[in-house]
Amino acid sequence: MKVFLGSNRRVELMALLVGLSQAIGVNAQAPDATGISVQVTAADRAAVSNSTAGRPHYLSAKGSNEFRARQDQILHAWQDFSNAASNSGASRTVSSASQGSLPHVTYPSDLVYTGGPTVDHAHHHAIYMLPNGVCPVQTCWGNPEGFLRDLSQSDFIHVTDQYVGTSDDDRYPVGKRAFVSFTPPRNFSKGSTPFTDADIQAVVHAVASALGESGGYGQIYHVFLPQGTDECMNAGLTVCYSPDNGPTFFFCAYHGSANFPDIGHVLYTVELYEDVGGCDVAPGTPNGQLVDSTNSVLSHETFETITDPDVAQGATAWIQFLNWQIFGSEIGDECQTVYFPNGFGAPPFGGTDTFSVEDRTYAVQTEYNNARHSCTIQP
Amino acid sequence: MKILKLRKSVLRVLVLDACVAGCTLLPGGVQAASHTPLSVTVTAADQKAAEGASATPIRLLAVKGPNGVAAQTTRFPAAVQNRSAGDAASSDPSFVQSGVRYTGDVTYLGGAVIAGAQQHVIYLLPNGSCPIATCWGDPEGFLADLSKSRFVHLADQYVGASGPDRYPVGQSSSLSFAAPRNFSSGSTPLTDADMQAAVHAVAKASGQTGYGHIYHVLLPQGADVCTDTTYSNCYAPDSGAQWLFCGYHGSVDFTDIGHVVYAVEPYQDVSTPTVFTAKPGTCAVQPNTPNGTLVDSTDNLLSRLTFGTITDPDGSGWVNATDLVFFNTEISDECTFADAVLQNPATGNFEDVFFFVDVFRVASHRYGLLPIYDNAHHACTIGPSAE
Repeated sequence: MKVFLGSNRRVELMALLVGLSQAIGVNAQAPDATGISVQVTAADRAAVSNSTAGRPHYLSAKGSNEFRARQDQILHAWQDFSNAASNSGASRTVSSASQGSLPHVTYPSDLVYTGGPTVDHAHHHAIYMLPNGVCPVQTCWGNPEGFLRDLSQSDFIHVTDQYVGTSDDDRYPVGKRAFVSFTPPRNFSKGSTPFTDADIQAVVHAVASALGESGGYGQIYHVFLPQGTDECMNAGLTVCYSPDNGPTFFFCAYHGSANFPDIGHVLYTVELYEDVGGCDVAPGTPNGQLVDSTNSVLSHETFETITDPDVAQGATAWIQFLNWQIFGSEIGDECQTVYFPNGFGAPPFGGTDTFSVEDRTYAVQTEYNNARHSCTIQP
Repeated sequence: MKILKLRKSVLRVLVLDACVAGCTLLPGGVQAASHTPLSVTVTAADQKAAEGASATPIRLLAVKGPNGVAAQTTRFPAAVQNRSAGDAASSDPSFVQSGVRYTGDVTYLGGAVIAGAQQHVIYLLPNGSCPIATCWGDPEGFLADLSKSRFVHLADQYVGASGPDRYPVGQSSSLSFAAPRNFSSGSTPLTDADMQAAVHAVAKASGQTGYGHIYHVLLPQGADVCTDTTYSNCYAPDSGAQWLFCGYHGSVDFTDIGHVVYAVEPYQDVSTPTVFTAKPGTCAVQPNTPNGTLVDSTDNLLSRLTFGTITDPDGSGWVNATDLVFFNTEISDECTFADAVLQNPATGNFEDVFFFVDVFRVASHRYGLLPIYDNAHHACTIGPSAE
């Protein structure tokens, strides 16, 4: 069944199957279900050009570039912090230093609330980027939506309760999915051009428009890129996901937000292919490195989107603004660990802990829990 | 009193008149030091000894401000370069946790720690003159208080000792150098090689080397120091791009006198007009601390470098070996709290960013100092109990 929705795009809907796939979504290990296929058009790119988005917050890749990535992140955190204060025209004190002194006991990683919005309820929407239209989800990424579905129903997600002000169960369910075809390669090694965040925003705009969901903080769009696809944060193509080009390989994933003139505020995350050195978890996890690396990064970006959705636009919520050593870190950043089973000459793995929903177990990094002053897998 | 110029190949040491007429009580209750300085002659051999020495990578305390990230972010490559696959960090099983992990907990990597040592201050005097109280406050008085305090017992868990007054103040020295030595005057900053040469001269003359002696080299206002002759990684408030750290500690193996442990404390009461300028931030503590920003900023750095030296003198003691954002940091690095009072409502002016310190008693005097990471409490604290 084809439905024409106007001259700007053609969208192929398989509504019955989509509905069916959602109905059976309780089986978190369901095989590939269908979703909508979306094409990015000039109108989407124009919307990006007319949007305000800022600079996304990325998850740095572990390895020799990590320190430069941290430098980059901290500098931008300073700029965002300074710009926000300059523009607000009001006095803004991060701590009470002007009135007193540091407490005798201070926890080095406790997050500070700086006034921005948080996400207390939202639907997740997966967007799979398919090279030449083909990349079976289970083969290429595992089952990210199954993971998100279980995450929403887990105890683990309730670590966010303290930050968003609610304890409702299953408040981040999985919604509709979409597929976007592109022509590969898009990376450094083939002499082609990596994707940029502008490309991703165009994708998100196209899908958000097509799905017709209400915008704002009630929807989170997760863009999954397949193996062999690079993306860069800047026009100079120097701050990138690029396992095939070491000097520019800075990050594994990121989250951001954009304000489109037509559809308004949109939240999104971008998960590149995670089963690569510098982004992956160690061997031996319950679902294997591909699935658990993808899920761990997806979890990281989800928790950060929930607790600090507009960091890219300088409207920070829960963030590290007191400890200079880790300035600008978010709830997920502070809990990344490194493990060197192959010696210090090889990229380290990310550390994980496990949580379970029914008989399904996942290995993901922990998240910072202010109430317990530590990184936890439980609230 | 002889004042001799610092030349590239020769360092000479100035003999200070001792505080023989009695010590005056400085504001805030800090007593002026009373000491008999060591008279040492530095020769070309000291400089050559520094050139031929093997040193462990120095540990920088980053300047408070955006540029400081370049200093603190060099830690990962250093860790990679200087540790083997067999180190504890590589086999640390805590990557798989059991519910709770404290981000700041440090790990013992098997190297040296310092359970007890004498602390020796070396004052660098520009053109032979810089009254200690005016230029730095009372560093030796602070170190003496620190050794007697409960605060220092925060280190007991790391060094395996609990006796009192384990880090007393020993013989101090001073030396003259031809000022200025900084970027803005067109001269060249001092380097770590200069610091090592100074330490060599003093240590060789006294015979006090090894882990039982810690040398603190204090630089006056206006003296820049860089880690090497690339002059790119420096303490340099007068040159924003190069200003990456507030101080550092390290150790060196001289072929003639062996292992020497030292720290370098440049002038700390420095700040820039605002974080919104192109210049970086500050090494100073917040205003209104008990002894004023000069004294408490100096003592704050002394405290941090002392704890860092005691627990990780050679880079293989206690460091954070699992947390990515804290990787390879020491117990003082992890508690670098800052405050940003962005705009003063009363004046409308943007204020400086500065270190946000605790105010507490160290032995018999109160100071404004950053806390130190305490594994036992999984937090930054001021020691086992308040005094």
